[in-house]
Formats: sequence, C-alpha cells, structure tokens
Amino acid sequence: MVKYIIKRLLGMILILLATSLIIFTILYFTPGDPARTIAGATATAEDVENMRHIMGLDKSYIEQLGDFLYSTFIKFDLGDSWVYNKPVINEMMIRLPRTLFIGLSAMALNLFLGIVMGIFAATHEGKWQDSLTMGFAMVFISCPDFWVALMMILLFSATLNLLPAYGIGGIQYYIMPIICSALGGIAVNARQTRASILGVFREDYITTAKAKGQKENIIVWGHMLPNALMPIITSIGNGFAKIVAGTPVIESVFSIPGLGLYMLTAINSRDYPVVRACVLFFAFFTAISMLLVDLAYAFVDPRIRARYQTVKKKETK
Amino acid sequence: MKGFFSFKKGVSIALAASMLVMGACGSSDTSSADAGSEADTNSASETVESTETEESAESEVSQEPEADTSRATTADGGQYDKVTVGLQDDPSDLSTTGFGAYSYMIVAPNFYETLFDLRDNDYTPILAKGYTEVDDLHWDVELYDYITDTNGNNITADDVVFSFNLLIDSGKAARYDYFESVEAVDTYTVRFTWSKPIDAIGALEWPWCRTYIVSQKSYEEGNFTEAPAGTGPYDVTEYVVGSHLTLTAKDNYWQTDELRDELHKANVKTIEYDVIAETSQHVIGLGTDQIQYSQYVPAENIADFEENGQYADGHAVYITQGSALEVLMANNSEGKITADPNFRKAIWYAIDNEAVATATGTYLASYALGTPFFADYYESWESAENNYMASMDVDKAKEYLDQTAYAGETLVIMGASDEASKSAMTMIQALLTNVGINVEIKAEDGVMLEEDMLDPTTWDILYKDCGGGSQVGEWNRFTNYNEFGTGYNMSFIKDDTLQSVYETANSLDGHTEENMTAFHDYVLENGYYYAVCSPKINAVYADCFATLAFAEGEFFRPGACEFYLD
Repeated sequence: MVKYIIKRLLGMILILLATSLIIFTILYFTPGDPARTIAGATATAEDVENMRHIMGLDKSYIEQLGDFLYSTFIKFDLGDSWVYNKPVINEMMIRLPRTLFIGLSAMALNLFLGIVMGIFAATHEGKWQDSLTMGFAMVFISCPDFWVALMMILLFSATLNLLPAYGIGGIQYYIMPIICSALGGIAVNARQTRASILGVFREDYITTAKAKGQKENIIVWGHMLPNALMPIITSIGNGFAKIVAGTPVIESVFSIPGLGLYMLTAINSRDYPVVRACVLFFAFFTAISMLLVDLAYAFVDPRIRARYQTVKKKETK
Repeated sequence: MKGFFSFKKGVSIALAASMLVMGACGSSDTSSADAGSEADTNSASETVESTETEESAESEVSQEPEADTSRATTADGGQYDKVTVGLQDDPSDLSTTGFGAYSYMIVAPNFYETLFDLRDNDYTPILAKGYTEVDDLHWDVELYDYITDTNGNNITADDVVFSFNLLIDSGKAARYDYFESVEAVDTYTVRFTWSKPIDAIGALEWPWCRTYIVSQKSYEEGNFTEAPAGTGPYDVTEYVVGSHLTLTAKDNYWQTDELRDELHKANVKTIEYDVIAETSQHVIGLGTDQIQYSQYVPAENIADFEENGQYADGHAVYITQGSALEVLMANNSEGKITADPNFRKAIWYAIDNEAVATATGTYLASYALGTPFFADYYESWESAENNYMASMDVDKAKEYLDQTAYAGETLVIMGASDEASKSAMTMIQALLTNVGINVEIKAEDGVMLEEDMLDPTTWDILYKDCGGGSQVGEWNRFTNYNEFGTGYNMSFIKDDTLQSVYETANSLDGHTEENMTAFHDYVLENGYYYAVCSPKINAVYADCFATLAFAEGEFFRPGACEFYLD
C-alpha cells in the first residue's frame, strides 16, 4: 500500500508538470496584452513597452516557460501578482481557509443530508416519501446556486434581517454560502445513495439478514450502506475536487474573498501568475482528492484491499 | 398506485407553475426591454432639437444635496462617528504604486497626499507651498516644513525624490512625458527638470497630482501594501484583503486648520470601505443599513431609493455626470469606406444620442464633443451649425449616404463587452439600419479591445470610452498623433491641421475658448468624431449625510462630506 501511495505521489508530479505546461501555453497564446492592462488606460506606447520589459513579457516563449518552471518547481516560488505586486502564495494562503471552510462545511452537509435522504427514499421506494425526497432532490439540482443565493439573501437579509447579506466575519456570514454550496451536492448524493442502496436491496445477504430477523436499522446502516458506498465515494471524490474550484460564483455573490473569486478577478485582469498558481493548486488538490478516494475504496472494500495485499505477497515471493 | 399518480400529477402541476412564474419573470423583463427599444426606435425616427435635449439632460441630473440649516452638522464642529461605503472591487495593494484597481483611486487619497491636487486644470498646493519657474526646464517646488506622516516622520525633499523614484522604478509612472528628473535643492525644496518646456494643459497632472509622497523611513520599515503610513487625513487601521478597509481620522493631521484643504478634512471619525462584488448586494447593503453610501446601485434599482421607493425612507439619490465620454470613431485608414467624410456624416446624422443613452440605462446623452463636467467645455458648441451630435436627422443622413460609394457592405462596430456598451452598440446598429447602413457588432473584453483597436483591419467604427483630467486632455487620447507611437491617432487619421489645432488648444497660452471652439468646429467640419454619451454617477446615500464631496467631480471623499449630528 505504501508503495502504491508513493507511486501515485510521483505520478502527481508528472500531472502537475503537464498542467503547468498546458496552462502556461494556453495563457501565453491567449489574446490580450497584460502589459497594456497593467500599465493602465492612460499609458503611452513607451510606457507599455517599458512595462512589458519589467514583466519579462518581451522574452521568447521558451525563455518565459523556463523561468516559470524553474521558479515553480525548483525554487517553489509561484511569483508575484502582476496587478497587485504581492506574492501569489501569500494571498492564496490568506484566502484558502475561507474557501476550504465553505467547501468542507458544504461537503459535510451534503454528505449527511444526501445519504440520509437517499436511504430514506430507498427504504420507502415507490411510496410518497420516496417521491417527495426525490422531488426535493430534483428541485435542488434544477435551481442554479446563484439564484438560490439571491433568493436567500432577499428572504434572510433584506426581509427578515436575520443574516448578513455579504462579507466575512463570524459564523453567521457563512451560513447562506454553505447552504447554497451544499444544495446541489445534497441532491446528487441523495440520488446516488438511493440508487446504490436499491442496487444492494435484493442481494442474498440482505434477504438472509431479514430472514434472521435482523433489525431494519442494522440492515440498512450495517449491511446495505457499506456495500453501497463505492459509487457514493466516487461522487464524494468529485465533490472534493469542486470544493476549491467550484466556489467563484458563491464567493462572488456573497463577496467572500476566497480562492475562487481571486482566480476569477485574475482571469479578467490577465494576472497570469495568479491564474497559473490557482490552476496548479486546483490540480494538486484534485490529484490528492483522487488519491484519497482510491485509498477510501481500499478501506471500505476488502476485495480491493486484498488485491493490494496479493500484489505485495507476490512481490515477496 | 392511484395515490402515487395523483402525487406525480401534483408535482407536475407545481413544477409547471414554478416554470410559468419564472417564465413570467423573464418575459416581464423582456417586454420592458422591448418596450424600451420600441420607444427608443420611435424617438430615433424624430429630429431632436438641441434646446429640447438640453432640458432633458438637465432633468436627469439631480441637484447637489444641500444641508438642512435647521439641523446641527459637522460644519458646526465635531465629527460623525462612522460611515460605511460600498466598493465594487478590492484595492488589494495599498502601496503608492498600487494603481491596479479603480477603487484604489477612491481610497488612496484618504491616507496619501500629493504635491498638488488637480482642480479645474490648475494645480492646488497640498504638500507643496507653491512652485517657482527657475527657467523653462527647471521648476522648484517648496514643501511645508511641518508635514508629518502617520509615524510622525517629517517629510523632506529627500522623501519626495524617493517617492518619485519608487514610482518610476515600478514602471507605473504613466504620463511622465515631460519629466526628466527630480532632485533635492535643500531640506524642503525639490527641483524638477523637464525634458521639454511645459507647454500643455495638464502636462504635470501625473507627476504632481498622482504621485503620492511618503517618508522613505516609514516605507522601508513598514508594509505599505497592507498598512501604509501616509500624510493624508486618515490612517489605515484594518485591512482584510478582499473584504474591507477601515480608516480612522488622524488626531494630529499635519496641516493647520486655517490652511487645511476642504477635500482633506476628516468630518467622520471612521470610514469603512466594504468590498461588495455584486451590484445587487449594494441595494441590500443600503436597505439593511450595512452601508451608507454606494455609487454601484444598478440603474433599475435607483427608483427603490427615490420617493415612494421601497427604501426611500432614510435614503436619497444624487445623480451627476461623470467625466468619461463614449466616443464613436470612424476608421480613416486608406481604402476604408469610413475614410469618406460624407459617409462618416451619414453615420453621425443617423444616430440619436438620447436613444443610445436610454438603451444603456446609466448614461447621459452628449450634444457636443465633450462633457459639461469639465471647466474647459463650452456649451456654445452644442448649438454650433452642423453639429450632428445635437440633432439627429435621417434625411440628412440619407443625403450624405447618397454621395458615397457605399454598396451595402457590412461594417464592423467594435466596442467593449460590458452590458452598457453592448446595449449602446445594439441601438446604434438599429439606427444605422434605419438609414440603410449594415453593421455587425464586435464586443470584446477590455484587454482585447485595447489591443485590437490599434489594428486598422479589425474595425470600421469604434465605440470607445475616453477620459482625462480636462476636456482638452480627454481629446488628447483619441486625437493626438503621439499617443500610440504608430504615427496615427486612435482613428488612423493623418491630418496635420487636426493635430495643429489640437496642439494649439492644448497649449498653455492657446487654451482659450476660441481655440477650443476652433478644434471642435474642425472636427464637425470633417465629421471626424462623434460623442455619444457619458456615464452618470448614481450616488445613493443614507440620511446621515448633509452634503456630499467628490474629488475631481467623481471620486467620493467621505471625510470631506458634512454629516448631521442630531
């Protein structure tokens, strides 16, 4: 297992290198001169040329790529923002906790509610409870998060004055963003859990458990859920990847200075060091999430665990 | 089973009903937009006289708020406690070189100061006592000898030299065309060396009025990006990047009360700037009193804060005209149909500025090549003979069109991709179709637009915003040959007379009404440019404000406002 993890981690370096190359190339060939933007609307041609030199944009593609790869992978320096003259990594570290807090809280909420709703629907298959739960799930999936966010603001801030409409501060500032971020995930997890539970519903071991007079709670939580977890874990894995990358809309609506909003602003202002750093970070986070998902497969499924052990035994022989 | 089906039916009906509601919301918007378009098209078919348009323009701009004299205000002494202002973007870098965001222009003058402030094309001394012209190329500026910054450091001539070099080294010293060097003559005097005699209006706007002066000691010991120490009336006490910036009035501002400039006052003890990216959130913020001032309320929500509006109680709206100007330019490069003056005039006479301004929702129509915002704008231009900007005339447009070789080809109108520009271009497209000129729209983001506009093959008509510190400065951007280093101006015109009349109007001695009018007349005669509209500033403020204060007419200065104290 350790060897497998090391192998995956080494593979991750290749993924990050490839991502760096791709994102650098895409941004290099993206139309629009960042030097002109940074120099400002009033800048003369000479000012723009001077700025291009300061930013190193007058170098060739290979030179610029070499500089970027060297500073990122050898010096571990993601560079400074062109627009704000600050080290990108510092700014990311300030913003990351907010994005993670919203993302992880939303993930916890959608996992809990999604699984509970899915089990509830599956155990009442074909009944009104099933239709009602799946109806809710359908509504959650159908409503765009920015629309839900605006509706919540109108209700809880403008009308009831219960929650702040925007900004950061205490936990009250995060309630609406977390709920809005979680809704879509709740629906996906509920539908996924329902389908998975129904998939194992008529398995022999469930029939046996029922025949032995096992309590329903034990059957559901002790037998059905662990066996239905694989697709749910895959869905959670995708959700993890979205934690950091999928929040720009919510952060923008609620004016939360997180990583998503940072990247969105950087794209609009052609602040390429910030865009490159954010994309690299998202790639890193996604790769780590996928690794954790694979390890979770092994944790919940003895067959996969056994496969790792078999490989190990063969190697020992 | 029956129960299940009836439930399904219920859900279906509910879903259908919700879709209808959503559809109705959408269609309501569409129909209002259509109605607007219809109204605009109707107005487009009429000839609008300049006298009517003046009245209309006046009615759209509200009176500057005046204090209720029966109430106690900060003008009588004392400070208001706290005011929160909504910003749309984050200044992010608060250092003297942080010109990255528009909000920086709003917040930075609270804690930094320059040698002079720019007022009506004149340099008002702030840190400087005044200046002396030693000769054509050397000017001395004397500083007050008691200027101190947040940390108590005395500002000397060496600090001025340091501040200038800091900006130059950052590469952000834009518009330093006349600047050669600066050196300390004595402790409180600096000598500027110019690369050529100062012969143009606003030539020193950027070196003297946009270069912030700080103490070298404070700069080297501190972190100006987040905690700057300037000489301005406020200190930065808290800055959470991307969220909010809190400023507190200095107890020991360096200037004496008698000499203190009006715009550098601190009538409110604490100013908080909240960064609110979504404009709809500015409405909620004002409605729930989280903020007390915003100029980012969407045009469609302004009525909420006016009489009988949802939030009218406790709020007021002040609408004024900004300095920027949306200009239409015809591509004059060789071989272009738009290089024909008759064709240009056909286009200009076909356009109804009021219809375009209405389509944008946030602009005021122009009636001459400029904005009344500037002191060197002359209203007489609006009634000039053959002023195609003041009167739309479809017949005249067709007359001019008949004199051209236009054979129905489709022209490209290029402009920014923001909603207002797209709405304006759509309206212009409709108005030109009305006279038989086919146009397709090319909307680009700001960065692309700045690049593509320098390529004569990418557009026929350019819809572009222009700005400046004065009217003649605003003209500079699109008329001056020396602006882009290409030998042409923004619309690829090669006309030495145009350049000459512009330079005369822009010169120190020649900046007279007569020369400004001569330039304007020459533009009209040749149909070179067309001013469409300029942005409105929709300032929504809470009733704690007795008066509002703006630097250069558009940068809100909360500390210089008067507040009610009762």
